[in-house]
Amino acid sequence: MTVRDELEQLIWLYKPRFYIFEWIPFDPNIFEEIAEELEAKNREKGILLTDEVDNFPEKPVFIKPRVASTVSVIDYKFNRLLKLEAFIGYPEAVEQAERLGIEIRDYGSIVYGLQIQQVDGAPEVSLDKLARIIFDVIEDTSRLMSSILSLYQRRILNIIYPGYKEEGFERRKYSVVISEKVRVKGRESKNEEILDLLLEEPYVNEVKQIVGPITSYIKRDGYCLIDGSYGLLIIGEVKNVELLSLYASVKSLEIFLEDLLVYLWMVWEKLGDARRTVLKGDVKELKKMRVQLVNTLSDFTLLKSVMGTITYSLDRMESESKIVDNDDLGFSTVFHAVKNRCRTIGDLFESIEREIDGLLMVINTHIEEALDRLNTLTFWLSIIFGSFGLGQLAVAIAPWFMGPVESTIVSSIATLLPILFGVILHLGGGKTK
Amino acid sequence: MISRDAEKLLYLISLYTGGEGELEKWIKNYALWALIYHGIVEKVFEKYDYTPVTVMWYGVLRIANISMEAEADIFKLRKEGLINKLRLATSKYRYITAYKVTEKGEKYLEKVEPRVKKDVDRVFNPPGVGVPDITIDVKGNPILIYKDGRRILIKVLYPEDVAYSSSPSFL
Repeated sequence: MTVRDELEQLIWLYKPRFYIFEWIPFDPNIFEEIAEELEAKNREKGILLTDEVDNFPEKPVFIKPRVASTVSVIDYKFNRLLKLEAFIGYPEAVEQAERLGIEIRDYGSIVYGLQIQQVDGAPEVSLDKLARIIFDVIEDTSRLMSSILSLYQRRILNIIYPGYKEEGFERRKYSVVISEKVRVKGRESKNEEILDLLLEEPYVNEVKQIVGPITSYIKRDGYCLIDGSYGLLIIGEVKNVELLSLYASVKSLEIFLEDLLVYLWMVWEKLGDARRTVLKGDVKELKKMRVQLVNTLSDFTLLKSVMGTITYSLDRMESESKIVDNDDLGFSTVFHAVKNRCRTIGDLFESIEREIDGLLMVINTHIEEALDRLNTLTFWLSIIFGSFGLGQLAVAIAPWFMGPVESTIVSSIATLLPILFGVILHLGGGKTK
Repeated sequence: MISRDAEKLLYLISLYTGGEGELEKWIKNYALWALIYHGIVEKVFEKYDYTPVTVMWYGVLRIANISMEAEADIFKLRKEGLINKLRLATSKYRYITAYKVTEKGEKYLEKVEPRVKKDVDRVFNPPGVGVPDITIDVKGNPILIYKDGRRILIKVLYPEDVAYSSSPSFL
C-alpha cells in the first residue's frame, strides 16, 4: 500500500541507522537452545526458518507455504551473545530489500539494526517516511522472531500480546535512530544548533513520529539527543555505545513490564467477574467460569516463571553497567525504577494466584453441592420407580399363590420395602457424611 | 493563534460531542483518530499528515495512522480552554482519553469563517444527510455510516509501505 496522503516533509536524515530494541524472556538455557536451533557453533549461513511444527514426524516429506526469510549466524559467544544477519522477504506492496542485523543477548535484550541505503532511490530519508519504515521493520521482525523463538517464549508473548503475529497487531518496541547528517527544509544548521530547531513547531511534530512524546534532550560536543517515550533520536556520532545499548535494553524491559502489568490487571478484572458469577450461583455459568479460571491459572503459572528471567536479566544488566563510566542518559535511574517495579509485581503475582485458587475452591464447592442435590433426586426417583415396579410385580404374581387379602398385603409390602430401604440408606449415608 | 486546521478539528469534535440534558457526550480518542485520518485522506485538513504509531485500540495494541500535527492542535485547543480532556480506565485496564468541546469552544465556533465549517461538513456533515455514526467492526476497523445508507471503511489501521533498501547494522 503506498502513501495515501501528500506528506508534509520537513526533516531529512542522511543514511540513518536505526536499532529496534525489545525484551523477550531469556535465560542461559533458552539462549543455548536457540543457539542450537540456529546451529550457531557452526556459524551456519542462510538458514530458512519457520514457526510451524512437524506434526507428522513419521512422514518423509513436509509440505508448507514458501519460506520468505533467511538468517545467517555472524557471531556467537557461549551463553552471552548471538549475532545474526537476516534477509526479510515477506510480500509487501512496494519493493523492499530488507537486510538487517540481529543481536540476541542472553539476558533477553534483542536488537534489530539496519542502515538505510536508499529510499525511493535517494540516500536521504524524511522522518515521515522513516517512521513508516520503522513500523514496517517492527512488524516484520515480530514475524521473523516467532520463527526463531522457543515454544515457551512464543506462548508467553501470545499471552501478553494476543494476536501479535497477525498484521496490524503489535507488541511495543523501543527504537533508536542515529544519523550524522540532518537537513531541515529551508534551513542551514550545524548539528549543535539543530536541537533547538527540532524542538520547535512544526519540526517537533516530525520528531515525535519517531520518538513519541518527548521526555528529555541533551546537547553537547556536536551531538544532540532527543529522548521520547518510545524512542531516541541522535544526531551526531555516538561515543558511548555500551551505555546507549544498556539504556535502550532497560527501556525495552520497562515496556515489557508495563504490558505484563496490564495483563495482570486484566486477570484481576476477570476475577471480579468470577466473584459475581459465584454470587449468582448458576451451575452452568460456574462450570464455564471454572474452565476459564483453569486456563488463566495455567497461563498465569507460565507467566510467573518470567519473573525469574527478569531477575536474571537485571543482574546481568547491572554487571554490564559496571564498565560504563559516564551515565549521562540516566540509565541507573531507569534501571532502579524497573528493579523496584519488579519487586511489587512479584507480590501481585502471589496475591492473584491465591485469589484464583480460592475462587476455584468456592466454585468447586458450589458445583459439588449442586451435584449432591442431583444425586439425591436421582436416588429418590430410582427408589420410587423401583418400589412401583416391585409393587406391580407382586400384584401380578401374588394372586397365583395366595388369596386376595394376602396378595394386597404382599403387594403393599413390596411397594413400601424399597422406600423403607431407601430411607435407611439415606440416613445411614448422611451420618457417614 | 488557532490555525485553520485547528478550527476544523474543533468543529469536527463539536459535531460528535456536546450536552444532552444532564448527560454529556464525549468522543473517544480512537474514534477521533479515525475521523482525523479520514479528514486527511479526504483533504479536509490542509497541513496534517499521519504516521504509524502503536496505540491502544479497542482494548488491544494495534498500529494506527495517527496525526502528530492534530495531536499538537488538540493540546493547543485544550490550552485555550476550547476543548476538555477526560481520562478513563477501560475494563481492560488500559487508559483511554475522550474529548468534548467546551462552552467557550462553542462560542468560538460561532465566529469562525463559514468556509471552515463548510470544508468539514463536506465529509462529516453533508447537507441533507447529517453527521455519520462511527462504529467499529469485528476486526476493529472504524466505519462511517451515513443516514443515506453509505458505509465507509476508514483505513486508519493499515500502515503504508515505503520502498527502501537497507544493510545490516550492529551497535
